[in-house]
Amino acid sequence: MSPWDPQLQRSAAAVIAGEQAAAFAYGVAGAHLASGQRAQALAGLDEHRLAATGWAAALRQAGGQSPAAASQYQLPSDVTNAQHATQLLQQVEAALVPLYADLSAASSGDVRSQAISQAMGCATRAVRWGGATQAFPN
Amino acid sequence: MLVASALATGTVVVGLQGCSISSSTSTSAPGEDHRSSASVEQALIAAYDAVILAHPSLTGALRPIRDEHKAHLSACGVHGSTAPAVTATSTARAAISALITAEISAARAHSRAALQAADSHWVRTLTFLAASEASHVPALRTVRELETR
Repeated sequence: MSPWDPQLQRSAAAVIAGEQAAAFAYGVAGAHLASGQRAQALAGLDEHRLAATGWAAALRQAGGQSPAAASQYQLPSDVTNAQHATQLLQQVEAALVPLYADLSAASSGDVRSQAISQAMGCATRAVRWGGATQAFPN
Repeated sequence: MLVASALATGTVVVGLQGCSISSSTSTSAPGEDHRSSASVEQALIAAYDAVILAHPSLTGALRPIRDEHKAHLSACGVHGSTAPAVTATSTARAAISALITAEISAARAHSRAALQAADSHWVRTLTFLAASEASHVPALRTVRELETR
């Protein structure tokens, strides 16, 4: 793979950090959800973990440095029940969309194609978790 | 990175993008690729208007989504809708299903356009449009479920 330009590397690093934070949020939220939603949250956790490791591998191969995951993240608000949990997941999914839009704009070909699919997936999951639709999800 | 800072960053970036869209589109006429995306949005707005007209009970659920397409249309550099009026399908359920199909093809059209676009601002805008339209699908499914009860 040819080296990525600095803008593309920065966008990818932001996506990786966002995906790592999203995976953490899913882990926290999952503990507060009942069976059906918990299974959905575990699937989301896997997806975001996979996305973080996938983009990290691609970035390293393209000559960049991937950010390390933190062991702890500060959540925007306390999560003590199922409603807080789904609100957190709405927020983290929607917040990934602009990061993927930046990655899409900074890239081309396969990377852009994947960034667009991920932007669509994140925006869709934000609404599935009960978030309102948005003209420009964020 | 903190989740909180990721959220804050996302908001700021989108705010800036919103400004750049309106400033760039007010100074120049939309190009061919913008016009083709605009016509996708105009057709969607016309479709929502037709369904709302035929099924007024859906207004509360559909109007916000319809208005998001107006925002998309503005981001394409077009203000005001000029798509020909269309007629909605007979039952509310069938009409919502048709909107779901229309949203999926719009998301697909904007994804394809984003892959071919050269201007990075436009690519970013098209990515948002595709993401927003994909997210309308679960929202419409919920509306359809409520309608069948």
